[in-house]
Amino acid sequence: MQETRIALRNMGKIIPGRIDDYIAAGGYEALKKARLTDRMELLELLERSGRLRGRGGAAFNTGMKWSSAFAVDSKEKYIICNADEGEPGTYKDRVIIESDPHTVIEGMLIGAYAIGADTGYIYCRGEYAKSIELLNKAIAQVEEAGLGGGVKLSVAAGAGSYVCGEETALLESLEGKRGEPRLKPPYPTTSGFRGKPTVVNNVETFATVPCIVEKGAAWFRSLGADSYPGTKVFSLSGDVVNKTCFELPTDVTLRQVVEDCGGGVPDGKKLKAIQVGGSSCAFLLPEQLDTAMDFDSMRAVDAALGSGAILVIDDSHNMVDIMVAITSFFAHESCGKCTPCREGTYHMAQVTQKIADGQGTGKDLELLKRFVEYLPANCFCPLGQSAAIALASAIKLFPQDFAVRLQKEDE
Amino acid sequence: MSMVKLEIDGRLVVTGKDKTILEAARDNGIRIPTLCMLKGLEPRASCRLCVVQVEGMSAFAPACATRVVPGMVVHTTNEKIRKDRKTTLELILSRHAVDCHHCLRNGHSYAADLDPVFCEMCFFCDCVRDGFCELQTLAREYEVDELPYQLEPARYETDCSTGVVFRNPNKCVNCRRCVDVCKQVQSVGALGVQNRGAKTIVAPVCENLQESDCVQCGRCIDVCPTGAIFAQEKIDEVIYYAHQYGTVTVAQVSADILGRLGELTKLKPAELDLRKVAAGLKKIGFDYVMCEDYALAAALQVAGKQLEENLSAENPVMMTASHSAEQFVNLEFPELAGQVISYPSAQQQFGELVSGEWAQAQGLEPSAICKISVTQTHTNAAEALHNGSVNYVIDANELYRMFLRTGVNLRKIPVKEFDCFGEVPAVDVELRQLLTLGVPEMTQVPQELTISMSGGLKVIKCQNLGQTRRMLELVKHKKADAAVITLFA
Amino acid sequence: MSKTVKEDAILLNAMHAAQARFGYLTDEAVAELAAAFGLTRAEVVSIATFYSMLQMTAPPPVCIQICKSAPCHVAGAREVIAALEAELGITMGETTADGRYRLEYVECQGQCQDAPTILLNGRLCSGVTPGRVSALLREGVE
Repeated sequence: MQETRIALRNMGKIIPGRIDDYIAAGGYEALKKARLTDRMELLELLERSGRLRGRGGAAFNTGMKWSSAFAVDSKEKYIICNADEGEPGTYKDRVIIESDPHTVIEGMLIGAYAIGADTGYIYCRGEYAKSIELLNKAIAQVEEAGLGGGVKLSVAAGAGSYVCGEETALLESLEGKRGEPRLKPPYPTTSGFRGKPTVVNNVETFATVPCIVEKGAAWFRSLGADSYPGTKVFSLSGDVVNKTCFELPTDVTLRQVVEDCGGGVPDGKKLKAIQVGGSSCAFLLPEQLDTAMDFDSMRAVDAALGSGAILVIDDSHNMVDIMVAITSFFAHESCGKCTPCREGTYHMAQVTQKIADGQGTGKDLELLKRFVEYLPANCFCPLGQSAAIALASAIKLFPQDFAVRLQKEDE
Repeated sequence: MSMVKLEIDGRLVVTGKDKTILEAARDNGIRIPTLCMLKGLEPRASCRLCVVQVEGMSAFAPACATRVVPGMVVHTTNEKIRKDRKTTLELILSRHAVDCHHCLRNGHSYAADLDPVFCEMCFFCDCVRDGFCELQTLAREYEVDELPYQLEPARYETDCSTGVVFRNPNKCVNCRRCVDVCKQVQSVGALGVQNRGAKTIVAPVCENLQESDCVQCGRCIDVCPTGAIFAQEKIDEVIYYAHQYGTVTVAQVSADILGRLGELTKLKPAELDLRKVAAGLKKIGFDYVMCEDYALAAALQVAGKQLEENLSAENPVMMTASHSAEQFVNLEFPELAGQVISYPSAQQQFGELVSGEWAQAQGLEPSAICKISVTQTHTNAAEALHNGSVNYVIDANELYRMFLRTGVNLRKIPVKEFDCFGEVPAVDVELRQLLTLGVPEMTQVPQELTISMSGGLKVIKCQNLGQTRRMLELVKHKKADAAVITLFA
Repeated sequence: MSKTVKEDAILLNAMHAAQARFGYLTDEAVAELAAAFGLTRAEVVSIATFYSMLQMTAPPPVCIQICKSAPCHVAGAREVIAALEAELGITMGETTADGRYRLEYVECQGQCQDAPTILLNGRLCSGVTPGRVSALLREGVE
């Protein structure tokens, strides 16, 4: 299956982070074109005709987000790149930055022009030392080449916190505080970094922007699904032959990604489940392999596209053991502010471990089901609200995996 | 202000457009439970007890922090909301050292069995807030009995380092009221939130409170909803001395306990006569119970003189009777410390009077007298510890528990007149307002007053340490526009 | 309490730099950061303890962190953990009696293409198998 590369268009073709290579490959032409275009036209290109939806997981219309920030009358505005890729199984942003940091910067500078921002930050997770280095070097090169346009860019290194990938927590962290999410509304586009209009977008989103500006809306809309045009970079992991990233149009099916590109399950094992979107999302069954990989089609089968992470699981695993990994992840990453997440994820992890160890009873399973009902409605932010989604899915689709670990008698 | 129409529990409600759902509900007599919410501070929306269902939203909304929207349809209670609130309480209690219900007579207690408001049965309720703990009240309301999780054993030691403000982290529900009050109102920031997730803890930066920047103002005690932060209690010792032959117990009762005592006893101001407190203390065995008026007036006379003597054209006169404010100035504005004049508090004056003139007049040895100050102003406890002005300081919470233990019923007990040092000297009304705190405020702006002394003077009253800090910054840069500045914690 | 650093200085970056200089965030580092950013020490500690990459205590000579997120688990992290525990005689979360080795969990490092992932004193080691564990531990000491 052939890839269609937009965000990854320069991967392997240029030396990463070398601005001359990037320019020779057509880089920064889109930026120049954008700066000569009327701002409203540019926004309309992304919002209505291009319909670029965010690639971080929430899939919000990028142009609409930029328009909201543009509409606020303020001298101080910010453009921020969310490179705090923390969703387990996702490594596409790292691959994008490590292969072509300049495309991310170009996208940010186009965004800065569109909304009227003169300061930008890339919040990159601290574990990605190589990415941080590449981005810092690229920013320096842009300054030297005089392409900055008066926009000051800098890189902030995260320090090990998944919740900082949530945009309001990111803003808190960037402001030099604990990364605890804020109440929404107000939204960052009206009151974001230091209370000013701010646009926060994912790495992949920014990496895609220059191509849309260059080649136009019609071209972009011709790729992928109608409601979610363009391509998506999928990160494959788990029991699959080719553990690597693939960029494909969004109207491909899960089967095409996992089998054609991924090479299917190795060693003659059988496919049991696929988790698309990372630890905060539901599982899909082999019979759902023909689902299209766009945002809305995934929602229709009670799953989610999310970050585009694809974890392939073969039948040698008991789902309860995988749930131990997932529940303990959320317990560790909970920011601790709200009761349901702070205490709920903690107990959820304890009880799941108990069941995995064969010490659990029917009552413990009932308790997990209570959490599944309780967390989505009561938690402060998306982390808590989605912490039990994978658990809900596992209990629903693989009840026998849980049953086999439960003690026979109830206490 | 433009008005907004919305529906709450099937009722049409009209409210201001900047109101939250919680405010709109309360204004219309609809009750929504809260825990982390504190009037005067920005809502945190973190305890999740005030969650309500807003039609059209998939997740619940926190009523304390959600602004009303025209046409909103809100349900404050239904089966799912009640079930989820109960789960929230269970989760908080699962790691909360639950020792409020160790009733020997019941073995283990259930919500329906005990009426802790007036429990005379067992004295083994270990928790200092048993009976008026906000968490306990909510747990009772939502019938939280059996906890489905394994209870965590208590893992933190109680921090008694200051001798005034005690911390028991095992009772903390992470509401963060104390952190916010200490940082945003008092600008001290001795308490902070540390770690993340289930390891989150509210703690001072170092091992204990004594080594931090804490000045023992006690605001955290006043806002803590559980027994996580409390004023040191010495109920057993006080009762012992009240009963001991050969010790004369003299108490002074300050009117500043009325607010809190009213909350605890649920008595209205008209029913809550301080002379009932006098009666209660006498019933326990206190020999003399003074009201604050004489000592306060005497103290204010001293202060008034100091004020007059130190008035100057160039610099504002800075004065304080608050031990905590003094400590705050020493820590944060050492260069100004020498300029701040300390005048006696009513407690200090009381202590001096009792051990001096009064003891002599009574023919008593000062060492045979046990002096007790009943006051809600916690800095007095720090002052007593530091200067030895009185032997014991009791706040409204401790007084209430003492009365429960000894069977004093404030609702029914007849009043007894206070004992007196003498005729209360007159004090200028304006000076009294400037030199006494009244109700502790959480606002940011100090109170500006004028007094008629010297032909009319502009004076400023700083009602908390945050106001104090801002004012002293102005003084430091010679930008303070006032003849007199009083500092309170 | 005013800042001494530039208005747009980023606290996170300064904390990383301080940790690199001092080895971990010592009392001195905390005091420096507090002074530089116009914060109280309590605030600096409150912020630093939120983030798992920032250490408030001295790290052991050899710190082995293994990712336990779902993709690494599926790729066989459990067997690697068992091998490490057997080799060192301690369980996850513990330090050896001589204080030299500590075994810890770490979250997804975004290297899922080469799972299971281990960080050896902060250095990435991908595609670890139970067989490679001994060699890895020897490496750590050097």
